[in-house]
Amino acid sequence: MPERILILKAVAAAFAVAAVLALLGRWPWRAPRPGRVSAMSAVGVGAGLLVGCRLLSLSPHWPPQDVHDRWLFVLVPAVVLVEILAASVWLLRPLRAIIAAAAAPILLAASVYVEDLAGPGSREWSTTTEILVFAGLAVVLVANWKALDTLASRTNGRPVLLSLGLASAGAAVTIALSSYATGGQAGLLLAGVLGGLALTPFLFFDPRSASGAIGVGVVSLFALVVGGRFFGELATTHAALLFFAPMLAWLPELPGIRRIDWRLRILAGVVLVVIPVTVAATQAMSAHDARGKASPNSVEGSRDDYANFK
Amino acid sequence: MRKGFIVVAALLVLAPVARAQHYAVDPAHAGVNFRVTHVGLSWTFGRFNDVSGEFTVDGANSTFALTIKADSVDTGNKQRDGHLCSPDFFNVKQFPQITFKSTAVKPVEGGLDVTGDFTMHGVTKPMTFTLKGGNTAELPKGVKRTGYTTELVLKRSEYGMDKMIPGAGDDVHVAISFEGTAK
Repeated sequence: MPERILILKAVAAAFAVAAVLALLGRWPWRAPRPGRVSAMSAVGVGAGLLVGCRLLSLSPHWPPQDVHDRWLFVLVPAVVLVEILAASVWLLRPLRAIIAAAAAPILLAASVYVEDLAGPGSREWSTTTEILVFAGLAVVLVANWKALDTLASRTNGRPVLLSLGLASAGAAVTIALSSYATGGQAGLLLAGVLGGLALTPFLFFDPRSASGAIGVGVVSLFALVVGGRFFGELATTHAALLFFAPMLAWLPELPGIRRIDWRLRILAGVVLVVIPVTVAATQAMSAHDARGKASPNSVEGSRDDYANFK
Repeated sequence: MRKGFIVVAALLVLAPVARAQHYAVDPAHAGVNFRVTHVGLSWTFGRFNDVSGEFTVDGANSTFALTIKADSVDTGNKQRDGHLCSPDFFNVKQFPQITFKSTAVKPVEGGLDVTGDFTMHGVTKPMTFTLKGGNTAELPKGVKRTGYTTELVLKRSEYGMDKMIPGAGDDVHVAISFEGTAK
């Protein structure tokens, strides 16, 4: 089976699982509760990712062995749990800060950056560097998460989910071109789930109802770019462009610009997000082609060619 | 009888006493090379440029320990090498070393049958191969050295490296050749 069709099927299945679970949160239909939709949409995103990964033979291992396993088996369940709790008890929202602080240490656990895997003294980061990097990444994640959640409260959450979906799609391409092909596939699943939920009718009727899906989405995008940067060859600038791109959806919501028709504002937000995503993907493609020019007379196959080869 | 006793005693005194000899792997004369099939048509060759270790030659009490830095993989193509270092293959930021540590050695004609634990990509499996060689030389003057070679085949999927099979073959043919200088 050609891989592109398999990927499309996996994305479709992931979206279907997410949408069904999220829509179940709307019960009862005549009096839906935003908190319940938020919680079930978080569960849906997490479950959709697991189903999609299973179909692409990217199922995580237990115990977790690499960044992909830690993202899906540790971080996503933790975020889903926090989103369920936060949807029920508003005062538990600060738990998101704990997730933000723990995300990078979880993803980079048992790596050469923080452990002497190649013998005593071989770790790449000193303790000070480790603290600074983890603190910086925590601040970045908290800021982005808070900004997007606040933006969702001013709309009905769909523009934010769409922005996250576009950024995830760009991350998928860029990470795959940065020598980490399976990281790219996971990004496609995330893009399909978030973008699909953004377009699902009847789902997000209240600004708070998308909060759960946004939480899992922004943390998963963070996990993708951290995995690509520290385990693949994703450039730091590209990681930053991809992770912060969804925040550009804020610009059409600024005072003065808000008076513009809501449809034009959404379109403007999409265009603004696409710009840095395209820049990152295009530069990654150029770098990928330049590395391949080491053998100018060679006709090299793409990853799809290898994956489809039987 | 007394003459015979004197002869035996003289032989015992003059015969060289077998002693364990410890060696450090000479990185400049150690090679770990591999080849895998490329879409079933030809071989793609590669090597690891950073190999170290130590071993002791003492018959059945010999020991061998080899360490390879996974990020020193070199197939002559930077793009391919970068992909090999990623989580799709060696995942060098998670599993920076490939190691072998012997657990049993049996002298055989022409070499040693070595059994030990081979660890790659976080997976440890027992492995047995025959090391051929064991001749010694002195180079430079005053530095005693010995060397061994072996060839083996392993399935990378058994070590969790199961991406892009059969485009890049599952069977990896490995040729190891190393010298050690006496400590």
